[in-house]
Amino acid sequence: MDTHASKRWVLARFDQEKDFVAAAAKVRSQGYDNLDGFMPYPSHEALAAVKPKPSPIPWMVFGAALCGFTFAFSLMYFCNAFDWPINIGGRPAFSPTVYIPICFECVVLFSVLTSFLGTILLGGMPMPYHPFFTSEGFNKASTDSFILAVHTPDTSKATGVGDELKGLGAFSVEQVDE
Amino acid sequence: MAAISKPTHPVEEPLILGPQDNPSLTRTLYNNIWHPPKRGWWILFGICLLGVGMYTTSILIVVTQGIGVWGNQIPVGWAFDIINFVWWIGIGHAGTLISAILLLFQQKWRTSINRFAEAMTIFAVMCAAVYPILHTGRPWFSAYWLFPWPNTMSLWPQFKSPLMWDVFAVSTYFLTSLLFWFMGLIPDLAGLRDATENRVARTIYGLFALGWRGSAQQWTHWHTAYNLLAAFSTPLVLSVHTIVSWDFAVGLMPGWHATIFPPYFVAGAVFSGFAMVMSLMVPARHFLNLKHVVTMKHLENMNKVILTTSMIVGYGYLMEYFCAFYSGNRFENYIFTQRLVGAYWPIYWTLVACNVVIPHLFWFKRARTNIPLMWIVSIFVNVGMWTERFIIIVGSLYNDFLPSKWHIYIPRPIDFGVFFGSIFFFGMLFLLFLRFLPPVAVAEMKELNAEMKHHEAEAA
Repeated sequence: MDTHASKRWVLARFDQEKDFVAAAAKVRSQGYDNLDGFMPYPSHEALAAVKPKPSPIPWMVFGAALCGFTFAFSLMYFCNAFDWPINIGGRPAFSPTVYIPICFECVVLFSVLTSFLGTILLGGMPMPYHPFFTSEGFNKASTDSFILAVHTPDTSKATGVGDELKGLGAFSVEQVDE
Repeated sequence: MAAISKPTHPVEEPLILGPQDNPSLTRTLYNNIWHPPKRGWWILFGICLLGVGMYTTSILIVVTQGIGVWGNQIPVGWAFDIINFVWWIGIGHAGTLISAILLLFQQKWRTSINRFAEAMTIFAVMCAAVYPILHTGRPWFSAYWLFPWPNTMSLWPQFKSPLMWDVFAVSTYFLTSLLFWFMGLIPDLAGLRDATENRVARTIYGLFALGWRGSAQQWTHWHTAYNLLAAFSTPLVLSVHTIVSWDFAVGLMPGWHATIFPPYFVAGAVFSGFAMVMSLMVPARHFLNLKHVVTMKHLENMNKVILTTSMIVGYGYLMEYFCAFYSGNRFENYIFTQRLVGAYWPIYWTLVACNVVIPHLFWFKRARTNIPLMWIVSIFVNVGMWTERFIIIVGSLYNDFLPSKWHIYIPRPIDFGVFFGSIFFFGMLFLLFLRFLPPVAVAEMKELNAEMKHHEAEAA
């Protein structure tokens, strides 16, 4: 039994975005639903062809924003109104209006950190090494080419898909085990 | 039957010149990194290094001798340090404005200039942050005092003070700008990693690219987060300079205690920031051969922003006078008369000339499209905005409520050492940026190029 069979990918490199989109549609119509695409910029058509999952980052950021607000408000309340209230010119120790600027800044800070860390971690980074980097021509994915990755259950199917992708205009086709 | 009329709107100028595709953009936009720098770069870098030497020496003198070496005297307790802080923070604002606000408004012309402007923001905020830290007098304590950690008297920081708000605003702003910039850079760092033949460069760029592969899922997260960062940066940029202005406006000092300060400071920040982008971009565009992506349309649009913000700032100056007059407050009236004819009148009239008069040249298309002229105007605006901060701070403090306290402030050489030193430090960082990173966001330019081609195909 081929132990790597469940991790076999066919990588096909296209120089034109439209060829990539057409190829993705074609293999998908043949039942290969597990696709991935690598591209030098977030092209709407190419992303739509690969159908990645929607990002949960907005929900994470919403939670982070609430945490930021709660953190800032409770910190200021604890310091200036609860633990050590100071009377300055008779102004109230608990004065929520003056908390607005720092609450806002903390909402932004927590949200921004979550957006950034979310992108890194959900995107499987940091991962300086990946098996796809061994593929010849994969380095073009970040500059000039579109690479379609098709997940296939076994070697014979992979060869068939590879031949078909070549027929659809792929510049090169390679099989890589993840 | 009525004849079908031709569209009357002018044909839009292209944002990318010449037939470009992904390989040609990769080649031209990474060009500055693969080729060794020219002699001009080395000369400028050498000058900046000397300047940084002066900067370090000046800072060392301030730290070891104490801030008594500055020209500050009561009542002018805030002088060069706070002037420079506000000036540098203001310069940083155009970066976030271009990145965030123009991104949200889908202004495609931002793509060519956002990387420049964001780099400028980060370096400007770094320069700005040095001043309040030095101003505390004992910088080795300042971090401890600024954080919410009780001091020896068990006292907490006073969160009702705008100075405390400033700490939160500026540190959030710096971190947000840095992450926004880095997020935009990750795909380009991966591009550099993959395009280089040099093993050392590949390792270094690879480390910073964090293993970016440009997969559909990574792009989906990236795109969502990038837009969220823009959405958060937009109110942030307004809040930061608003809070900086509150440092003054919440005080009772004549000339400071005005509700117009927040919008007036924000407009001034955008004004000086765009001027600084112009000052940096005009030479960089020429020497790095970026004329195909930074076109005359970009420069003209920026000149229009400079003209608009100049008028907003001019309106602010006028309203300050009106409010002083209408308030009937004799201290306010006195300060504003002193601005025109008092000890610092040459600085005030320089400010009016640079910020209010000279930018009006940009009403004329010939001026808006004249490269040497726009560069000179941008330098005038930078000078003008510095004089504005000087007039706001020193101009109000030197003649406060008690005539017995009045004192003319004269800066000492060490003040100039720290100020000009920070400009050289900024220059050094910028030159290093131009040497090792793509000055234009390459992935975003490719996206824009593809979008433009789609539109052309649809129109045809």
